[in-house]
Amino acid sequence: MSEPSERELSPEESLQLITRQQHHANRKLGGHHLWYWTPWGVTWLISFGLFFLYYGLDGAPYVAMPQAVPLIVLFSLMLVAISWTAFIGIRSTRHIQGASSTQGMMFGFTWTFGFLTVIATGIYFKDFIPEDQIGLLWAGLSVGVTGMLYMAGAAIFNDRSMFGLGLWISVVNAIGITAGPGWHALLTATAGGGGMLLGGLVLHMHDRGRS
Amino acid sequence: MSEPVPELDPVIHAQARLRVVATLATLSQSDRIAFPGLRDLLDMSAGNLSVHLRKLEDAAYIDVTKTHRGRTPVTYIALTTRGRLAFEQYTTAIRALIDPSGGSL
Repeated sequence: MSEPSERELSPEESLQLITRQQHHANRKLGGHHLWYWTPWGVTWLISFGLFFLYYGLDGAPYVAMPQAVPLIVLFSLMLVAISWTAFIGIRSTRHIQGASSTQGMMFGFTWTFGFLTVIATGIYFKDFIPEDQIGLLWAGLSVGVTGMLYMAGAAIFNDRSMFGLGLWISVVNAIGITAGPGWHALLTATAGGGGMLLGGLVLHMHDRGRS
Repeated sequence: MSEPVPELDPVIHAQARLRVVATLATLSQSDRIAFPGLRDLLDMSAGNLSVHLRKLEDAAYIDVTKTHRGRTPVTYIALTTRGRLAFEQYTTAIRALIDPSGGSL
């Protein structure tokens, strides 16, 4: 932004300048909503879409495939989404030193160790749970941990939209688990993944409207 | 009876310094930002930013710390408690000028 010589600002101009500059800084430091929400929305839409085709709503698969296919797709896409989230998180706060960078680092480790529990639980129980149900254990735990971490992250970073997202995911996940594998996959793909893509877009439009 | 017109802090009431202070006020109180990061957020030249930072430092509104990260020297900048308070008073004052009734009934 070029600087006109130090001309006297009117109070209205001062207030506008403050609002515009703080909004710009917050967006640069906090990242764009689309960047955070889109990779997760895509991950869930695709992988739970596959789970849905694998399970079907009445117990008969719509498309025959080994259960490993949707599981591998889910964990591969989640790995990409986690790495991407960590990358933009680190990039946007690289010039900041103090409590918030420590908070960010601890929160990052929380994701890693949260999923360590999911993986250990899934591996242990795979021999005790019928083959056609084990996918729901993996999926329900992963989505549950993600929803919980969004809500906890919202509390750390004081971000209401993130809290709403975590709440929405947790509720959709719980309803889906109760209804069974096919419904869980359908709900997580559409309401979870689709909802996240839509939510990211709405927040993005809202942000653009303000700047 | 007319309300007294609030006086605007001359250190902050200048376009460039107002942007600097507004930006620093978005950081958490326990955080500080490296000079290149602040320059990116403000899109100012290093020289121009340094001049304004010196004025803010003279008013004890900001705290400038020179340190090293590895072997590279880094300068960190943070708003002091006094600076944060001055910014709050400034925004209260301009709001009062825009709407002298203070938005009450």
